[in-house]
Amino acid sequence: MPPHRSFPTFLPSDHERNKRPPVVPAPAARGLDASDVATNPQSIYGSRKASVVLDIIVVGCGLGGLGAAFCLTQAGHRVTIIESSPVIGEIGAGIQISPNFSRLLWRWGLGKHLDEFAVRPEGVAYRRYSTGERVGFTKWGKTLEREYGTPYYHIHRADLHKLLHDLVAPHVTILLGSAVIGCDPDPVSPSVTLESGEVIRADLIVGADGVKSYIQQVVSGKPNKVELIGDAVYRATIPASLMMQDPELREFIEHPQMTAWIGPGRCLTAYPIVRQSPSFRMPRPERADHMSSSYRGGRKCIISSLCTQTMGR
Amino acid sequence: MYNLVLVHPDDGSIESLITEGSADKMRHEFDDFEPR
Repeated sequence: MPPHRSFPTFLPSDHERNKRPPVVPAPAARGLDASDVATNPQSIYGSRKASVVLDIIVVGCGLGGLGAAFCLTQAGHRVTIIESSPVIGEIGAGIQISPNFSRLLWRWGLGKHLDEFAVRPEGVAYRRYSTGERVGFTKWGKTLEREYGTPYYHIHRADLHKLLHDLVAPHVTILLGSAVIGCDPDPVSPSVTLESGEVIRADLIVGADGVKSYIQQVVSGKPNKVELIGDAVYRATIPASLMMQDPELREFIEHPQMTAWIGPGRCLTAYPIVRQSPSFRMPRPERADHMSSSYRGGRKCIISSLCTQTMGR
Repeated sequence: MYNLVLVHPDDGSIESLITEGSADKMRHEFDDFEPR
């Protein structure tokens, strides 16, 4: 264990550090699921804290960086997240949350929020592209929840990112607009260098900087080469209200499930990402997607800000 | 909101987070999907 060394000036003073941020309040009790695991996310490790408090840099304020930062702060460490983007943007579209992930989100106290922002799909249907015939179906819903303990969800990435950000922000320092252009993995005194020239040292550096990770290249010592696989992706969203007006399309909203139309060389996957039940009262403007995350392996994204029907009708 | 992801063979597209695609081209490529 390296000796503690002075930490850069952007961190709060020791006095300020000792004033622990307020405990994240348990969300108001509304329609709680009885099995919602954590009511106090502060206690994810019980009362255990790390015996040696480390200064930790997390590079990247995406879903992975926020999740890592949260767990590290809960263990008692001091975390600074460094993000190149100047703003926390609403990037991306649908995200699949399978039970191995939702279990963690519940443990972190976010279960109740997920039910406000996410859809619990009934299952996944596979259909022949040319006829629409259903050739396969896997039941999720309650069956899956019983088997794995927590639900499968569909959620908009912006909603999931906001949930995690609001959970983590009170416990960490977040530096926006700070691109990391250098990283010295010195075993005694690791550091990152920002575009501004500032050098920040820490006890530990976590790379959570995405599929084109710079930190990964530093660790592996070789370029992070993208391999093209020959596929590209269109993404689009349709307001649920439009689909509800169409007698043939409303079932896709009323009975939320993932549908995959499988065809030669092509595949169309679609699913609702915001709960549309009558109990959903939070006003939500429909998002027109102008942005999307890129895909691993060189898949390319072409985004359509379509708000009309796009299913070849 | 209903989210669509359409995988198709790459035809030399630009790798981009914000490039707007052609809705007509997308409809054409998936014209034989789901006759309903």
